[in-house]
Amino acid sequence: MTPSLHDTTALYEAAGSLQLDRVCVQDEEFQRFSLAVRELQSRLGDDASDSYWQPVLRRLRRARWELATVPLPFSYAGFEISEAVTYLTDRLSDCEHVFPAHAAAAREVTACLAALPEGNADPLGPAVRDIPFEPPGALLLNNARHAGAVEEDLAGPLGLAVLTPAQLPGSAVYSTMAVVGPGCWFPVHVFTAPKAREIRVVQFAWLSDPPIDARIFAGSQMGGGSSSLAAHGGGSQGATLASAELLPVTNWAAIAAGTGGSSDMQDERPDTVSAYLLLLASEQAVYLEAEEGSRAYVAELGSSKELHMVPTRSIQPGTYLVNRVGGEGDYIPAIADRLLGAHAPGLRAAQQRWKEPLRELAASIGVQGMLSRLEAAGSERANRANLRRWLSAGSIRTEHLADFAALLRVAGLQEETDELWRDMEVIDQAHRRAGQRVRALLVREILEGDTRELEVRGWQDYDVEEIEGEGALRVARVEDRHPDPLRVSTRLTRQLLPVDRDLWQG
Amino acid sequence: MLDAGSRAASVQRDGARVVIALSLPARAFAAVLAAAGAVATAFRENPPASDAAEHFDYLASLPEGTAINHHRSNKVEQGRLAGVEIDSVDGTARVRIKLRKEDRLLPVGLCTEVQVIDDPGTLKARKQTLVKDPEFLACALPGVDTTSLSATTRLDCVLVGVQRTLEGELTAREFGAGDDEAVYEGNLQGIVRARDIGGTKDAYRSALVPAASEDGDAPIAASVPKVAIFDGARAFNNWRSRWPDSNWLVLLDRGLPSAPDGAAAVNQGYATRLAESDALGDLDIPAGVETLAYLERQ
Repeated sequence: MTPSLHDTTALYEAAGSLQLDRVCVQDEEFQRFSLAVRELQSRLGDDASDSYWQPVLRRLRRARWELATVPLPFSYAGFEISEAVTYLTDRLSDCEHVFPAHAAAAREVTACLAALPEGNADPLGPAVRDIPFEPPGALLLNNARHAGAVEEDLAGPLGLAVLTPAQLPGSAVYSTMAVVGPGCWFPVHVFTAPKAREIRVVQFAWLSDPPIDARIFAGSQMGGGSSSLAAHGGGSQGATLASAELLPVTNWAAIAAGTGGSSDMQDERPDTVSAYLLLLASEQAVYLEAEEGSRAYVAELGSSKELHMVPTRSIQPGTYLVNRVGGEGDYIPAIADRLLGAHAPGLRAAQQRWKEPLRELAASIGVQGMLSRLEAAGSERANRANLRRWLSAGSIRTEHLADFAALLRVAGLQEETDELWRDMEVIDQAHRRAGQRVRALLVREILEGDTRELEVRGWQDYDVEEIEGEGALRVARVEDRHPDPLRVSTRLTRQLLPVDRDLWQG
Repeated sequence: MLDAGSRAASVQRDGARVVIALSLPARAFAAVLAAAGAVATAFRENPPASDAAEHFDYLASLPEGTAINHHRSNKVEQGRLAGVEIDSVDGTARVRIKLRKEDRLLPVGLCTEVQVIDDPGTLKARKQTLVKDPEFLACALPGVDTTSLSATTRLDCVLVGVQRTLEGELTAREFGAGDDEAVYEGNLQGIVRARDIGGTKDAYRSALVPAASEDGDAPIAASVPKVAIFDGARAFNNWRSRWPDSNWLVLLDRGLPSAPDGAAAVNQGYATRLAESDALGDLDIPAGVETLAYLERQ
C-alpha cells in the first residue's frame, strides 16, 4: 500500500521537529538486584564461562532484562520470577561446596531477586501513566514477548497502541510515543526516523544512555543542524550501570548444540548439509540449507510489503520467513504430495529408489569415486556440490537428462531411466504447483491482508488445507542469524526447533 | 527531492559521475519526485529536436518504414516514415509520414511533430490523448513544451526500486499545480513518463527497474540515462554497476532494516572518491534529511 503524501509529510515533520524527553524512574530494590548481577559476574571472572554458572547467569540476565524493559508490576506472572528463584535456589544449593568463594554473592543475588515481586512494585507503569499523551499515542516495547499483557493492563486503558521496533517502518505518525528503556536499546531509526512528534524515553535512572548519532553516511550534512540526538530532562546522571551491559547476547554455541548443529565443517557425511541457523520471533530456531541454489520464501513488511523467493544466504534479521508448522520437513513437498493424491506414495518411493543405491555406493567408494564413475557414465556436470544435491532427499531430478541417465547407470537402474525421469517430472510439476499455491496464500494473507497481529507478535500461523493433519504455514520474523554456516542433519533442515528462552540471554 | 533529482540530472564532470546520497525519514514519493525533477531538467537542458533543420536531416537519414509518433495539438498518432520529397512546384523539402487514414507531407518547420519510436512494439492504429492532464503539466513545468515532453522518447532516468510501490506513487493523483485562478490535479507519471506503466506503450522519458529482478530486465536504450535513481539499499547494492556512466542518486529510508547495508556501500564509495561534490551546495536541505555528494571515477 502506498502511503499518502499527507502521511509522508507528517513523517518528515516529525523527523524535523522531534521533541525527545526522558522520564527517569527509581526503584532501589531493582537497582540492588541489577548491581548484584553485575557484581556476581564480575566476581566470577573466568568462572562465568563454567557450565555451572552459565545457566545461572542466563536466568539472572533474563530476569533483569525483562524487568527493565516491560512496564508491568514485578509480580506479573509472565516474568516467572518465583520460578527463577526456585531454579536458582536449587541450582546453587551446593554452591558452598563447589564454588565457596562465590556462594555469598550467589545468595545475595538470589535474595534480591526473590524480594522483587513481594512489594508488588511497578516502577515503569506509573511513569507511563503520568505522561500526558496527545492522541494518538503509542507505547514502544523492545520486543513483543509481553506485548499482550502490556496492552491489556496498561496501554489499552490509556488508549495507546503497543508497538515493537519491527512495526515502525509501516507505522503512521503518533503524537506522543513512550519508549520503554534507554534509547541505546533500540534501533537508531526509532529516533532518527521517528514515528511520533514527541518521544518520551522511560527508563531506570541508574542506566546510562549515550547520545545517538543520526547520520548513516560518512562526511555527510544533516539538514536542520545537529546530527546528535539526546533526550532532554530528567537526565540519567548518576547512572551506575552501562545500559549496554544489560542487552541480551544470543548464546549461539548453546543454541547450536541444543538444536543439532555442529561447527565442524569438515563433516561431509551424506546425511548432513551446510546450513544457516536462524532464530525466529516464535522463540524457535530453523536451519536453512546453505548450498548454492537453496531458496526460501520471505516477506518484508513495512512501508512497502514485498514477497520474494530469495537465496537462503541473503535472509537477514527483520524479514519474515515462511516455515511449515506441524509435520516434518519443508511445506512444499507436503503440499505437493497432497496434490499428487494417491499417486504420491508410489512416486516418492520411485524418488527414493534411485537415490538409495547411489547413497550406499557413495558411502562405500567415496565422493571422488562416485564422480569418476559418473563422468565415465556420461555426466558432464558431476561435481561435489551437484552430487551432494542430487543425493539429498529434497532434490527431485537433475536439470539435464544426461546427468540423470548417468546417475541411473551408476546405480544399476539404466533400464528404468525413461520411466523414472517421467515420474520425477510429475513430482517436479507438483512442487511447482505447490509453490504457486503457497504464493497465492501469502499474497492473500500478507500482501493484501491485515498483518498487524503478525507484526505485533512477530509470527502468525496460516492454515493450508492442502497440508494434511495440523498443517499450517508459520510466518515468523527472523530475529537473529548465526554468523557462520553449521553442519546439520538433512532431516533437521526447515524444521522449527524449540529454543530455551534463557539461551537468548547469553 | 525535485531539486535533488534536478541537480543529479544537470551536473556533469568529465570522467566522473556524481553520487548524491540522501538518508530520509521515509522513502515514500522520494524517488518519483526526484525522477520528476531529473526528467524535467534533462528535457529543459536538452530538448529533443530543438533545431528543426537538424531534426529534418535526421528523419531523412532514417529508412522508410521507421516507426514514428506524430503529435499535433494534444493528440498523438503512430505511423511510419515514408521518405523525403521535394515539391516540384515550390521546391520545398517535406518528410512524408504514413498514418492510418492518410499520408502527410511535413515541411521543415513542422517536422518536430514527428518523433521516432525507439521501441515500436505494436503500433497503435488509433489517435489518443497525448497529455493526460495538460493544465496540471503546464503549471507544474512552466516554460516546458509539455506536448513535446509527452510525445518524445528518450531514456533520461532509470528508477530502481519496488516496481509495485513506484507505480503506485507515480500514478497517485495526489499532486496539484496551479496559478492564481485554479489548481489542477495530476500525477507524477505525466512528468516522469516511466515506460510501460499501466500497460501502455506510450513515448517515455524514464524506466522502472525492479530491484529484485535479474539483469535481463534492465531497459535497453542507445542513450545513457542522465541519472540512475536507487530507491533503497537493495536497489543500490544490486544494480549500481549497471549504469557506470550515469550520475547516481541513492535514497535510503533510515527506518528500514536494510538502510545500514546501503549506507555501507555509499560509505565505501565515499572512501575511494575522486573529490567532494558541491552538487547540493546551495540547496536548503529540510531538517531530518541527511545528504552526501561526491565524485567517483566512472
